[in-house]
Amino acid sequence: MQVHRPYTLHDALALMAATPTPTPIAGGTDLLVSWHHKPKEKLALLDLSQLGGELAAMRLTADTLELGALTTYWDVIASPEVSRAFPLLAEAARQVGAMQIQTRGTWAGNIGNGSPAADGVPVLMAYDATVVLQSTRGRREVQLDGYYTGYKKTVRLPDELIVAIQIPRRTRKAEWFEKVGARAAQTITKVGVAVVNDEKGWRVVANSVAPYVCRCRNLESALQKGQKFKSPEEIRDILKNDIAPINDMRSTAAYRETVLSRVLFYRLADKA
Amino acid sequence: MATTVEAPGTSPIGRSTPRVDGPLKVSGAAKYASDFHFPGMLYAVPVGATIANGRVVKIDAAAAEKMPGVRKIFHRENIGKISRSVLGPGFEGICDERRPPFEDDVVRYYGQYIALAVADTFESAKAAADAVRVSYDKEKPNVSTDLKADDEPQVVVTTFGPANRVRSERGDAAGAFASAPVKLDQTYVTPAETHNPIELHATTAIWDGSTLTLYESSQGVFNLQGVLAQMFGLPKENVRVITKFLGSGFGGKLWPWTHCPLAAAAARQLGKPVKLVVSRKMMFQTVGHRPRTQQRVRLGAAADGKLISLQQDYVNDKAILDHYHEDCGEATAFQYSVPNLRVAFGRAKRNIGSPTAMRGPGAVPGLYATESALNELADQLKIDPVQIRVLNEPKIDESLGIPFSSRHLLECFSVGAEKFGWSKRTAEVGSMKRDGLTLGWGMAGCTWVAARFPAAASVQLRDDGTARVACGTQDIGTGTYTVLAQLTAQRAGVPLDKIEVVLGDTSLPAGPISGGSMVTGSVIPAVFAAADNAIASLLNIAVTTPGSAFEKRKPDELAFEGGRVFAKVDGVAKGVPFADLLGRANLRLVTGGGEGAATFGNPKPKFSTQSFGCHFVEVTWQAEIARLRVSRVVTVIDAGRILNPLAGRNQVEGAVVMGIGMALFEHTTYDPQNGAPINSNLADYVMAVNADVPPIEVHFLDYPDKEINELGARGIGEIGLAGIAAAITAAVHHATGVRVRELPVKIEDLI
Ligand SMILES: Cc1cc2nc3c(=O)[nH]c(=O)nc-3n(C[C@H](O)[C@H](O)[C@H](O)COP(=O)(O)OP(=O)(O)OC[C@H]3O[C@@H](n4cnc5c(N)ncnc54)[C@H](O)[C@@H]3O)c2cc1C
Repeated sequence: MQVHRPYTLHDALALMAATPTPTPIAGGTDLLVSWHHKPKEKLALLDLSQLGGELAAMRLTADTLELGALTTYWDVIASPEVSRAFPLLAEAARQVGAMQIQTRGTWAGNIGNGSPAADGVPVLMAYDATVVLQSTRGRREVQLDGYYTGYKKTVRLPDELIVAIQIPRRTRKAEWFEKVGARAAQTITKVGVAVVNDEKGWRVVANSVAPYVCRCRNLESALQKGQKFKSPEEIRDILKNDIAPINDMRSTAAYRETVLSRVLFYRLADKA
Repeated sequence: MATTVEAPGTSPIGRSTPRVDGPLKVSGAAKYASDFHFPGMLYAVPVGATIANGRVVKIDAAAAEKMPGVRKIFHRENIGKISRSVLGPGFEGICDERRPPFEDDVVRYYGQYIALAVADTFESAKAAADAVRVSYDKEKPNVSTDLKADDEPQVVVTTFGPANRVRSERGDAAGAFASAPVKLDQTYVTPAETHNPIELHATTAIWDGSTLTLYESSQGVFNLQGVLAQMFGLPKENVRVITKFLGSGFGGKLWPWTHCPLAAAAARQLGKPVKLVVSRKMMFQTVGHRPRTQQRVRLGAAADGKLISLQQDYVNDKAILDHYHEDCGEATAFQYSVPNLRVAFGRAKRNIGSPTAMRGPGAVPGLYATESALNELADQLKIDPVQIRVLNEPKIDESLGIPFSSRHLLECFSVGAEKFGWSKRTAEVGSMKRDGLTLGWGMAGCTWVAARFPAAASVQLRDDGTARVACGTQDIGTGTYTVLAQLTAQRAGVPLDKIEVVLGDTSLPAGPISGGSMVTGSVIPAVFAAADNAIASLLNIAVTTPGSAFEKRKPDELAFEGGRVFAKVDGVAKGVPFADLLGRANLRLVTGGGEGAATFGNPKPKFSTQSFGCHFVEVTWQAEIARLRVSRVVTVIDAGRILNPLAGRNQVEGAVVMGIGMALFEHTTYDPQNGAPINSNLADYVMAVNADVPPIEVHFLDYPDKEINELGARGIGEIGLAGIAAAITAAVHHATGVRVRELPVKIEDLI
C-alpha cells in the first residue's frame, strides 16, 4: 500500500495524474468502513488532510456559498452564518452519523462516495449546487444534478479532484428536508427527501429510491404548474416515473415509494 | 406500598452508591482482556470458513507464511492436540460449542475457524489471514427460518435443558382447550439476536512450562478454567483465568468459545504470549447468539377471561452438533393460574454457530409470546389487559405446588398503572391522540428466576484500617465491585473508600458465574461469613495480645461494630479500632474465608423464588410518515431488597433500552445462499441509540426476600428485558391496529 500526503494542491493534482491513480481520502469515514476487507497490495491513497488552505475554507458571499473540499459537516453546524443562510445544510449535517462522523466526514466525500443513501447530497442538489473539479489539465464546474451517471458512477475523470462545492444564494419560498430511518439517530436512510422552491423553481431531490440521489423532475414540473394534490397516491403516481426504489436489507420498494409520497404530500400541504 | 427509600443512618446497604470502579473506567486505567501487553507478544487472527456447509479440501498457506512478520499459519494439520471437554456435575465444564477448533475438516457454519494466522503485529496477522487460500467441497446450507420441532428425533439432555420434550404439564390442556368457550391460537416468532457487547471477545494466552494463564473476556472464569484444563490435559490448578473488567457480555461471554483454545494452542507451540481479539464481524458468527424461536401459544378461557387451558409449543434453532435449548417455557407454568397446561419444545438443526444464553435466556422470548397472547385474549374479550392478569393471579406456584417466597405482582400492576396514568386509556385502536400524534398504550408482566449459586469469598482486615474483599466472580459492568464493597463495609464497618475489592481471577476463592442475575444474591452469605470469620479471628487476637485493652476478657464478651472491637458491657464508645489491635499484636492483617451454598437447581425447594414486575409503554405513531417511537416507559420491579438503587435502576433502564431494540430493531439475518449472517456490523445490526430512549421511570417495590439471603436481595440484571417487547407490540397494536407477531416490528409492516 502507498500513501501520498501532498502539502499543496499543485502536488496533489500532480499525484492524481500519475499511474496508478491514487484514491483520494478526506475524512476516511466511508473509505475505512470496508478497510479490512480490501486487498492492500495495490492500494494507493492520496491523503488530502494536509492541504488545508483553500480546500478547508468555507466562503459565504452575497451571492454564493463555497465549501472547500475539506469542509466537514461540523464546520457547517458550527457556523451560525452558514446555518442561517442554508438551514437544510445544517439540518442534514446533524443527521449524519454521530458527532465523531460529523467532525471528520466531508461534504465532498459524501458526493465522492456516490452512495444512493447519502444524506448530504440531497440538500446540496436541492440548493442547486455545482461541483468544482480540478486536475493538472485545468478546472471545470459541473452541476451536482448532472454529476451521477449510474450506481456509484460519476462524470469525474480519474485524475480530477473535487476542490469545492458552490451553492448560489437565492430567495427561497420553501425549503425542507426529511430523513426516515429505522431508529431516531445514527441511521442509514430508508428514504429521504430535500425540497427547495426558489426563484429558479422547484427542486425535489430524493435519496435511497434510485441507483443514485436524483431529482424528481415530473413532480417538480407538476409543482411548477401549481398543481395541488388531493392525496399521497396522486403524488405516488407522478413519482413512478421519477424514482426506481428496490427491496433490500434496509427496506422495501413499496415502503420507500409510499413513505416518500406521504412525506411529500403532508409537508407540501404545510408549505406549498 | 413499599418503594425504595434511601437507607437511614450510615448503613451502605440500600444506599445509592456510585461505582467504586468508576474513576478507573473513565480515566482509561481499567484493564480489559485485550488491554494486557507482554514482551514478545504475538497476535493471532483466525480465518473463518466462507461456506456454511461442506468440507475443507485444501488450505494453501504458502503465500501467507512468506509475508513479513508472520510466525505461523495454524490449521488442522499443525495445531497440535486440543481435546474435548465434558460436562461435569454442578457448574463444571459448560460450553455451548463442544467440538474443539480444527477437530475435523467439516464446516458446519459460516465463519467456523479453519486456520489461524499468527504474526508480530495485528496488521501482519490480519494480512496473512486474508492471504490464506482455502478450497472447499461445498453443499447448500440449511439456514431456513421456518422451524420444525421434529428435526430432532430424540431429546438430548443439556446443561439447563429438560430431559423430556414436554417441559411442564398438568391437567388436560388439549381437552380443556377444545371445550373452552373462548380460544386463541397464535404463533409468535423472535429472530436470532446477537449480543454485541462493545468489548469484543478477547484472549491473551501465556504459557510458563505446563501452566497456562489466560487474560480473557469471561463472565465465568472458573468454568473457563475447567474447560481449558480439560482441553489441554492439565490439572485445573495449572490454568489461571483473569478477567478484571468486562465491557459487558449479556451472556455471550458466559462459556468459552473456540478462539480461546486456539490462542492457547498457538502460544504453546510458539512459546510466546498470543493475543486474539475476535472481530465485530466474527462476533456474529462464532461466539453465540440468541436463537430464533417460533412459539405457538394456545389459550382457552372462560367468557370472563379466566384461563382454562394454556399450551405453548416452542422451537428454537440450534447448531448442527450442539443442543442449545432456549427455555421459552421457563416462566409459563407458574406465572398465571391455569388448571390445564402443557409446555413442549423442539429444536431445529441449522447450519449456524451455536446459540447461547442472551440476557434473560428463555424467559425473555417466552414471555414475549405468552404475554402477547394474553394481551390478544384481553382485546378479544374486551377486558383491560391489567384486569385479565389480576383475574389470573395464582395463589401458589402451580407448577411446583409450593408457595412463592415473595410475590407482589399485583402491587406492581397497581403501582405501574397509577404512575403511568393507565386509567385514562381508551381501548379503541387509534383513539388516543396528542399533538397530532397517535398514541398507543400497552403493558405486560414479567418475571425472572431468583436463586443462589455456590460462592466463596475472603475478607481481610488490615493494620492500616483498610479491608480487602476477594471473590473469583466478575464485574461485567453491572456494579459487582461496588456491591462487594458495600457488603464488606456493612459487615466490617470499614468505609467504602477504604475497601479494596478484588475480582475476576481463578486464584481467588471460587465465585459464581456472572449469569442468571444471581451474583449479588449469591455472594452475600459468602462475604458476610468471611467478614464474620475475620472478625472472630480479630476478637481472639484482642483477648490474647499482651497489653490489649481486652486481655482479661473472653471473645464472647466482645463485639465488633463500625470497625471497632469493644466489650459489650462498656459499649462501642469505648471500642478500639481494629487497626490498633493488629498493630499491637504485630500483625499486618487477619483473614476470614466464607462460603455460601447453592439454591439453584435444588430438586425439593420449599418456596418458589422469583422476581416479578411489569412494564407500561407508550408509543407515538405518525401514520403520514410512518414514524414510530417509544415515547414513555414505566417499569415496576419486585426484586427483593435493592442494595444499590443507583446501579439497580441503571440495570432496569438498560434492559428497557435493550427491549426497545428487541421489539423494534434487532435481528440477525442469514443469507440463504451462503449461510453468512448478512448484517454483521453495527451499522446494519440496528440497536437502540440514545435518541431512541424515552423517559424511563423505574420503581422498585422493596420487599426483602429472606429465602434468598439475609438481606433479601434477589437480583436485577435480566428481569427488565422480560415482557417489554410484548408491552411495546401491544402499544403498537393500540396505535396502528397492526398485530405484529414476528419481531422486530418493522415500520414497513405498519403502513
Ligand atoms: C458510523 C458512520 C455513520 C455514517 N452515517 C452517515 C449518514 O447518516 N449519512 C450519510 O450520508 N453518510 C454517513 N456515513 C458515511 C460518511 O460519513 C459520509 O458519506 C461522509 O460524508 C464521507 O466523507 P469523508 O470525508 O469521510 O469521505 P472519505 O471516506 O474520505 O471518502 C469517500 C469517497 O469520496 C472520495 N473523495 C473524498 N474526497 C474527495 C475529493 N476531494 N475529490 C474526489 N474524491 C473524493 C474518496 O476517494 C472516497 O471514494 C457514515 C459513516 C460512518 C462510518
